[in-house]
Formats: sequence, C-alpha cells, structure tokens
Amino acid sequence: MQEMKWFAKFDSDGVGGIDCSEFKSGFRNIESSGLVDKVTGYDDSIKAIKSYVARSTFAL
Amino acid sequence: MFFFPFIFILSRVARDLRYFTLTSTTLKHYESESSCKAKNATAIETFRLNPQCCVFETKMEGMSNSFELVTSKRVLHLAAANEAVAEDWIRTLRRIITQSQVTQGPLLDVVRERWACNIDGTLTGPDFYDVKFETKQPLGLVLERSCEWAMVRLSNNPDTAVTVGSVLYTINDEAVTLKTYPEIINMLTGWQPPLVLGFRHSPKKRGWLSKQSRGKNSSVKNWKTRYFVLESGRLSYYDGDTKGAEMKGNILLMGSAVTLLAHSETGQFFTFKIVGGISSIVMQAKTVDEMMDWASVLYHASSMANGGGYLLEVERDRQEKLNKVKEQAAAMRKAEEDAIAGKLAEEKARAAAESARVAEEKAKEEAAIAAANAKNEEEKAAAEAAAEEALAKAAAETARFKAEEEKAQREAEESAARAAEEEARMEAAKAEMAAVEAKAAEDAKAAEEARNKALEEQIKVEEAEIEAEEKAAEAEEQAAAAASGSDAPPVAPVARRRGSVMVNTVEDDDEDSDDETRPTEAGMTGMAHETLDQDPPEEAPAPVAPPTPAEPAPEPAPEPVAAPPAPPPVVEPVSEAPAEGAAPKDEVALTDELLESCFTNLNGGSVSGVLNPMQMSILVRLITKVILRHSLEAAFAVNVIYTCFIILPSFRSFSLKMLLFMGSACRNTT
Repeated sequence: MQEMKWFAKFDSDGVGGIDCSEFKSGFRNIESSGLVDKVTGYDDSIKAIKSYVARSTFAL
Repeated sequence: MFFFPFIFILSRVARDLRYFTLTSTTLKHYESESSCKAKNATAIETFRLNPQCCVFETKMEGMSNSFELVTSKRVLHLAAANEAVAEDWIRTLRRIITQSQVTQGPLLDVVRERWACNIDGTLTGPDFYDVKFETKQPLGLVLERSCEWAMVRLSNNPDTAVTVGSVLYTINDEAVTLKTYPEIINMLTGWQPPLVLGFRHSPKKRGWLSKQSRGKNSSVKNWKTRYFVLESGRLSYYDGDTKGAEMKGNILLMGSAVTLLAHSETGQFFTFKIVGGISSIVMQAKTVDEMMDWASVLYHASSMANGGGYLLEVERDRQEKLNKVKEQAAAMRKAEEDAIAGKLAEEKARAAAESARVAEEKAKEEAAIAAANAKNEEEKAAAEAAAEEALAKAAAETARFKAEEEKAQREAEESAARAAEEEARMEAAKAEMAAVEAKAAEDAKAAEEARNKALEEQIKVEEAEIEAEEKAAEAEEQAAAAASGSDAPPVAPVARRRGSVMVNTVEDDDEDSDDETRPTEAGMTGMAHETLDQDPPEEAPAPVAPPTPAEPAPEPAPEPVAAPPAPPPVVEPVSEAPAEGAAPKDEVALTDELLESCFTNLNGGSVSGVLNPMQMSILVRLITKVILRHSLEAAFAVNVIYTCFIILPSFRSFSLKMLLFMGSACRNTT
C-alpha cells in the first residue's frame, strides 16, 4: 500500500481527494521538506514528473 | 579523439564487448583497446555521423541501458555498462548528430531541391498548416519526442484536422524547430488562448514497387510486386491496391534511414533500401525517376520522423534568411520614418520664416506711422528710435528663423541621403541573395547533369560487364560443345533485361516476418568480426518509451568479458559537456504550470475537481515505472492505455481498471 501512504501525504485537508492546489503544494512540500529521502516513491515521482514532459510524450 | 570501452550487442546469442572511438564525424569500433591502439590499427567498422543518423533509447529483453544508433549503413544495437554511461553516450551522440554536416549525395540533392524553403525564408505550401485554439480546453493532442522535435503521436480532435505524424514547427508564429524539446514543452505548458500551432504534414505517397524478400529456408533472394503506402510516418506494403488487400508488413520511419543501392549490391537497377531498428526493406522501382521520387519522399519522411535530419540545416538557413528579411524591413521602415520627419521639420521651418517676414514688415509699417504722427522733434526722435529697435528685433527674428530653416533643410537632406543609402544597401542585399539563389540553381543543375552523367556511365559500365559475361558464357558453351564433340549449334544467349525484371523465381514466402530481409546469418556462421545486425526482439515497437532517470537499475547486463571501467564519453571537437553539478540539458523546471498540466492530464483536462487514490496510484505507477520495467509488452500496453486514458474520456474507466490490473499483476510478480 505504498501508493496510499503516498496519497495521504498529498491529502492535506483529509477530505479524501486531491485537488489541483493540493497536488501542487504536495510536490512543493516534498521538495522543500526533505521528505524525498524518507518516503518511498517521492524522489522517483519528482524526477519522473520532470522527465514526463522532457523525455517522451506530452498530452495537450 | 577519445577511446571508450563499450559493450556491443549483436544478437540475443552474441553480445560482444567492443572498443569504440568517437569523433565529431565518425564512430569506429575495434576488437579491443589494444587492437585500437596498435600501429596500423584497422577498425572493424566505421560509421559516418551525419544529420540523417539518430539515436534512440531502447528496452531490449534481458538487456539494460540499451540504445540504438541508426545510420544509413545500418542500425547498431548497443548497451552501456550502466545507466549514467548510456545517458552520456546518448546525449553526446545526439549533440554530434545535430551539429554534423550534411554529406553530399544524389539523393540529398534531390531532396533539398524538392523541399527547399522560399527565398525569403517563409513557410508556405500544402505541407504547412496552422491550427488556432481560441479557448482554454484540452487540445486532444499527444506529442511525442523525436530527438528535439515534437511530433503528433495522437490527435483526437477532428475539428483541428491535425494529422498523426505531423511535426510542430511554430508556436504563435515563433519557430520552434531549432529549440530543444523541453523548451518547446515549457512554451506549451500553461498556454493561454489564443494559441496558434503551426505543423508540417508528414509526406504521403502510395504506389507499386518490387520488394526483395527471402525464401523461408533459403538464402536466395526473390522479388515480389507490392503496393506500398507511406502515411503518418509509417511505410506499409500490401498484396494489392484494393480496400481488402492484406497488409504484408510495415516499418516505422522513426528510427530508420534511407539509401540508394548500387547494382552490385542487389544485382538489380533502381533499387533503394530503408533500414529500420529491427528490419530493413529493399525496394526496386521501374525507372530512375520513380526510384528518386520514392527514395526522396522516404528520405524526407524519415528525416521528419527522426527529429530533423537534413531539415535541421534547412531550418538554420531558413531562419537566417527570415531574420535578414526582417532586419531589412525594419531598416526600411526606419528610413521612411526619417524621411517623413525631415519633411515635416522643413515645412515647419518654412512656416516660421514666413511668419518672421510678416512680423518684420508689420514693424516697419508701425514705425512709419509713428514717425508721421510725431508732433515735435523729440517725439520724432523717440519714434525713430522705437522704430529702429522694432526693425532690429524683426531682423534678429528673421535671422533666427532662417537659421532654423537651414538646419531643418540640412536634416531633411541628411534623412533623404540615409534613406537612399539604406535603399541602396537593401537593393545590394537583394541582388546578393538573388545571386546566391542563382548560383545554387546553377549548382543544382550542374549536380543534376553530373548525376545523370554518372548514372549513364554506370549503366554503360554495367552493360559492358553484362555483355562481357554473356560473351564469356557463350565462349564457355562453345568450348564445352567442342570438347564433347557435339555438333549441336551453340545456344543463343538469352537477352537480359534491366529494371523491374523479376528474377530468382523462388517459392512464394510472403509472410510478414519472413518477408523482410533480416540481417544476418553471418554472425551465426562464425564470422565473429562481422558486426551485422541481429534477430529482432519480439514486438519491439521501434524506439520504445525511454526509461526515466528515476528508474531503478534492473539486473545488470551480462558482460562476457571483464569490462574495464567505462568513462563517460567526451568528444574533443564538440566540447559542450555540461559542467559538473549543472542541471542536465533535459531537465525541466518543476513549475506550477507543469504540475497543473500533469494534474489536468490526469483529471480529464479540468483544473477543478479532485483526484482519487486510484488516479494518484496510476500516476505513481506510471512515473516510477514499476510496471514498465517488467517487460516490453507491458510498457507498450501501458503507453497505449495511458494515452487512451488521457484523450478518450469514454475509455477512461476501462483504462483505469486495466492499469490497476496490470500494476497489481506486476507487483505480484515482483
């Protein structure tokens, strides 16, 4: 259930869904708070978000 | 020149470690480091690097850190010792290819002439089209990276008429063909209406050609007539030109190269070849014109699919021309404005001088009246003095206005002179450009003549060879007949035909996979030094989605020989390696717009609403490549499903289930 833990870190208001601002601030918090090293998947996801647009396909 | 140890993969059964040397123009490989550094070292193979080459990351079964280099000679499948080295190689090769010069050749001459840009550098013609987006909404497009170009991989909006395989040329009239892919994506991320995207169609062509194929259990080649269709960056061939015709095979132009073939290579005239990542197709036309027509279209199409090729040089020239024209137009506008300003100043000065003259006359009149009205001498003297003063004042005013008039006139003359000079300069530039164009046309004509002459010479030589062979055969037959004492007359030689003659009538074997000329049996027959291509991996959809830097390194590639430490490739003549610690070239800033774009992609194109755990899970799985590293098939399937997820709302629920299912399946196998 790595994904659920990952999800919980983004769901700042605890309501259960992640809106756009939570999505953005989730990544920002991870990047600034150093959680990258502690939570599995965060580091990969940030790198992958960057490479998502840089290296392959991009949907518009 | 620098030397790099490297693993060179030949096939599933043969993975040879080879020693590579890379310069700004060539890539060579040797048996070992010592054989490279030996006196009179001879490379096993040399590949010339030009804009027609391209590099793709690949995912071969059981092989990590692999990539392929496509050259017009053939395709090399390579793998590095680790991910960092592979990335360095790919980046360096791409940089060299981008900066390399186009080599001359008859095919390239035709291609350049056929797809030349306008004299003023503008883009016109049926190839180019613009699409305007007036409102902020999902555009229904999926762009795919090919080198530094953005190609349309999927288009889901029939209103825009964007065709698959088109290349993005401009964004809001700004050319993007010489920008990097991350720069293009940064421009598109968080776009605001109105957005005008300029595309170039991938060329289309269809017609009958002969195609070389190979017998199932024989190395004898035969020729079959097939109906070829070039469309959306893919070349397919069918057994007929009707609607129900069966497709016998196809090749993706991304990751392929096109070359003309000599008669000595195939035993036929008017042949050409398209080399892909896992297969190649040899085709034959009926005439030289038809051959050049097909080969040039394929060359152009493969250049587009491979992210530029020769078009990069065309684009550099075009944008230079465009900038020159823009500068000229700006200078002309400035000259016109100067001339108008000078004229206005002259008119103003003239009006001022006229008003000064009127004032002087008025002062004179007033003085005369005052003198006449003076009652006594004193008053008369005072009146005269006042009159003199008024006259002096008027004279001073007149002199001032005159000076101003002269100054304005001078300025106007200078402006006119500047405008004339600018006009003359522009005329000279136009004449120069026309001279360059005329010279280019002359050169093209001369090249065409030379090419025709060379072809004629070649045909003559080959005809002479054929004649000699026939005579020799005849002589042999006569000698044999004489030796056997037979009285039978010698058999008349059968006249040979050139062109699209079908030879080697071997049993029909036109199956999709068997139909392609597969390289190579040589590697399996003991020619250890032959660096020929290999059996294709199953279902390898040419250049596969590249691995992310985040991808955990899978099991290391087997190394048959103890590999010396592999330093990253550094190329002397093109020394632009990023500084240590600097962000790599492909790095994209994690901006709010980018995150918003990712969010909207996952959320059906809307910023409002929320993502549920399942959607986030998809993101996690996709971006961390938990699924993708398991198998090529899964990677391909995920790509397709994810793309459908993005652009087809009605398919979203199904896509979601499929992805989750595949994710759990992969996790279970882990």
